[in-house]
Amino acid sequence: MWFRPEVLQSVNWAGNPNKPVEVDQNGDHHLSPRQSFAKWQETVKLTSLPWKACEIEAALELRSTIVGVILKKADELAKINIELARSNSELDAFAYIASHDLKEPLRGIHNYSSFLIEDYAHLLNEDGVSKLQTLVRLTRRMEDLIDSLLHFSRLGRIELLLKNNDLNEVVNGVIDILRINWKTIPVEINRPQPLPEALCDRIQINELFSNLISNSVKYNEREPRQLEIGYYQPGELFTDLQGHTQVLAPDAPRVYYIKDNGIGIKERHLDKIFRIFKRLHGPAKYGGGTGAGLTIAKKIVERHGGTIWVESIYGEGSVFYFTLASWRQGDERPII
Amino acid sequence: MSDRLSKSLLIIEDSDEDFAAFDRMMQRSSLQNPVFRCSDGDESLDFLYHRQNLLPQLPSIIILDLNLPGTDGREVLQEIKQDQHLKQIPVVVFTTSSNPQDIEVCYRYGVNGYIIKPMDTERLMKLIQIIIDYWFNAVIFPEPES
Repeated sequence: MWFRPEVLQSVNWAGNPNKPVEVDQNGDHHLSPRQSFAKWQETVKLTSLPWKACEIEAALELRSTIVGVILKKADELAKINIELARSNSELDAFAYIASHDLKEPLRGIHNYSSFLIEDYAHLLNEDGVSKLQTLVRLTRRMEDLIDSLLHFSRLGRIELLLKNNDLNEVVNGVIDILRINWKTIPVEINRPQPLPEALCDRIQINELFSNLISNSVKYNEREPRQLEIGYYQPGELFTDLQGHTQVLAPDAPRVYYIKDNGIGIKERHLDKIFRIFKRLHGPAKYGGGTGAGLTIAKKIVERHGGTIWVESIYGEGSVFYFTLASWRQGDERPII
Repeated sequence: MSDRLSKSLLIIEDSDEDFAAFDRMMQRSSLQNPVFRCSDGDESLDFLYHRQNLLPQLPSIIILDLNLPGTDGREVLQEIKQDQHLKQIPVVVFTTSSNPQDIEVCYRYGVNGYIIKPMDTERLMKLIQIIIDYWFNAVIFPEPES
């Protein structure tokens, strides 16, 4: 409708309108009288018929309608954004208030059990004291769970501070800190190539590596624990635990991995391990923990626009893979 | 300088259990100074404004819980720090809330310390000992006003 076909037209002139100026040898312009008044015909090309007033009016009306619709949509979006920000901050406040109000009675139970042990232990037999100690231990566990829940709920909403970070440095720092906890546990870490730089939130990526590396040592009974930390570049050959080989697509993101010779995960549990508070072992085994570590790892990876997955052979070891979105600095960041 | 024993402590805490735990630890630390307790925000402000017959001098330090029934701890803190007379009293917030917003707001209002209540009784004992050592044995206060 807006682009109309060319209509060839002929315009009759009384003479060639482009002719009357002549330029002589000296470059002077001078007008010469027409010698002929014969009809001169021009063919007008590449021009369509002119717009009628009613058509222009319709076009203007359509334009103002479109502008109106766009403005209305933008307005609605802005309202939804405000609503979203409000509900996010409410959720944040809710998590804190809930955790506060749950902790208060819990602390009472903890303190009073401790006082009971302190003041009346001599009236109780060994079994009684041990039951009270269990009570105290359980309140601590409950507190850990509440803290994990609070941490997890905040993780999804805290704004990411994206910077180029040297992942090598991040992993060095994580290992230095974990070694303090490992003490005498023999851990061998193999790093086939230095890790590259990546655009990420340093605190969160630190936590991601910390959770994955500490799991590799925690759920591991071999001496020494053997870890391999590395990555695959797009276009590189990638071999999985089953020995299947494939080439990473050239436009795929880098795949980072942490491989261990640990206890492995049975196949039927593979889809459950990222679920919050899901533990595959009793609370006293493998150093306990709340069961939030991998859920947190998954959340961090997803907030960085990546995915995390695991391969495992029960009794032989596991590999955790993850990717981070490959945005460049200044790109619109994905919010997940 | 005032006598060490004339320093008094005001605890604003609604939970009887938390106060009992706090009190127990203070007994253990053999603190001799007078301790007063208010169990909500309004009571504490009443006490601070009309305490003359109970306490001749302002309390030397206030331990404040944030989540109180009625006027809550944040408002009590704001009011204390806006009062020409009361604002010289150091206020230490002692709360379960680890919300960064609370921490920020309290420091903006001029709180003198923000401590998160621990779950562990041993840790509680340690923190109370630190509070006593610092506020009763280390720092110097201005001459008490009546």
